[in-house]
Amino acid sequence: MRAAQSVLILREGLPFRCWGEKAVVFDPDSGGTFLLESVGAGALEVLIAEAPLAVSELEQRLLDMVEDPAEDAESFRFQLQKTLDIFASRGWITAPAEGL
Amino acid sequence: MTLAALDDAAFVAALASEGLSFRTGPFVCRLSTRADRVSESLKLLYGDFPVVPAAEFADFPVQVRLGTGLRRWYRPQSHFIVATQRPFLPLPADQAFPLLEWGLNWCVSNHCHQYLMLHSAVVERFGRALILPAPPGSGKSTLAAALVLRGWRLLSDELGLVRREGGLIDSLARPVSLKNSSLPAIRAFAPESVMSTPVHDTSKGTVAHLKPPADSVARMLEPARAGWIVLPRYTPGASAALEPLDRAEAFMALACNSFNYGLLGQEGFNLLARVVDGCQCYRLRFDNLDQVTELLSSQLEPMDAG
Repeated sequence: MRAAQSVLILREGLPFRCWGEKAVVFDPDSGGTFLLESVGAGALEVLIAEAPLAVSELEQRLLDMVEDPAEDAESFRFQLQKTLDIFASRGWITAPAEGL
Repeated sequence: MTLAALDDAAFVAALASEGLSFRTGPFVCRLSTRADRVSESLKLLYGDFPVVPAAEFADFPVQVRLGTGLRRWYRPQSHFIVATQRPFLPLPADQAFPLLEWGLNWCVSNHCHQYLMLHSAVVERFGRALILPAPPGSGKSTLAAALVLRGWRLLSDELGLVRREGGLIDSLARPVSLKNSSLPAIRAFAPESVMSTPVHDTSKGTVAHLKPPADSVARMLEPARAGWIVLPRYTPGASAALEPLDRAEAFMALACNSFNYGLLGQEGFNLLARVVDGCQCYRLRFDNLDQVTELLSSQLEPMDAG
């Protein structure tokens, strides 16, 4: 595989396949394949369609996907923080994942 | 007609002149050599392989040539040649047969991009292929040898050939390469198994090749659908154990253990995803061969069984 160390810029139309909470994404520009952890299929679809995103936008997108975030707020925030941490550490979002 | 059916004189004469053509799965190899070590091991290990008429196209016209001049007497060498190309430096003459095997692997892995090629052992049962992707030293060839000696069908100990159209896996069913501690382990596991004479001091240590079962050779044109992906890891002292593996991680393991995934681009991605979709995926650690073959044979059932 080429470009194993490069950063994936999420954008519309990237081929991906999601199994459970993990996904693989192919970047035709670099030829690289990336393993994304702790993302659901819905989240990945939204992010790929819209990224790069600001943290606030990302949060809103994830909120939009949850029918009633208040009902399971703790779980939602945990999942969001985990996703943000991973994405921020790899430079896939435009602001640090802090202050949630 | 098989190679074993040729009488010795005709066998040696064909090898020494225009070459002897034989089929290994989807490929035809035409071999020319005067090296006794090669002809003896060929007859022993490839005896069940079908002879192909000399006029038929050969995918790999190869020679194993012994050094000439003073080299015949002082540290004699063997050379691997495919068409007019010499992809390797010469090796000591006693390594001529391993050199042929390594050379044939090189021919396939560098030229056969009509396949997605996985660096993995592949065996089959119930019409489903068990893919064992792993880097060298993980024990995949030893495990594949043990499984085929317990009734699984050998597709390859080294190269998983995934068809780009349809995703079926083709068989090579060539001899299984074993090295170092694998040799006494397989001998103890299956004393009746047929192996070439061990060659010492190669770049991989001591190596020998296991004759593929006759049934695997007879069925080498029969493809299999991927059924399981198992990442094996030889772990001294460990009890054999299967642990479920995320499909995304299995995907990455296959991609990282492929010869040409990067070359195939998005088509390779889509094809690999399709293979993974159809498989149950596990990590495996093992030490004892009886234990691990029993575990895999009892635990791995096709997804659509029953």
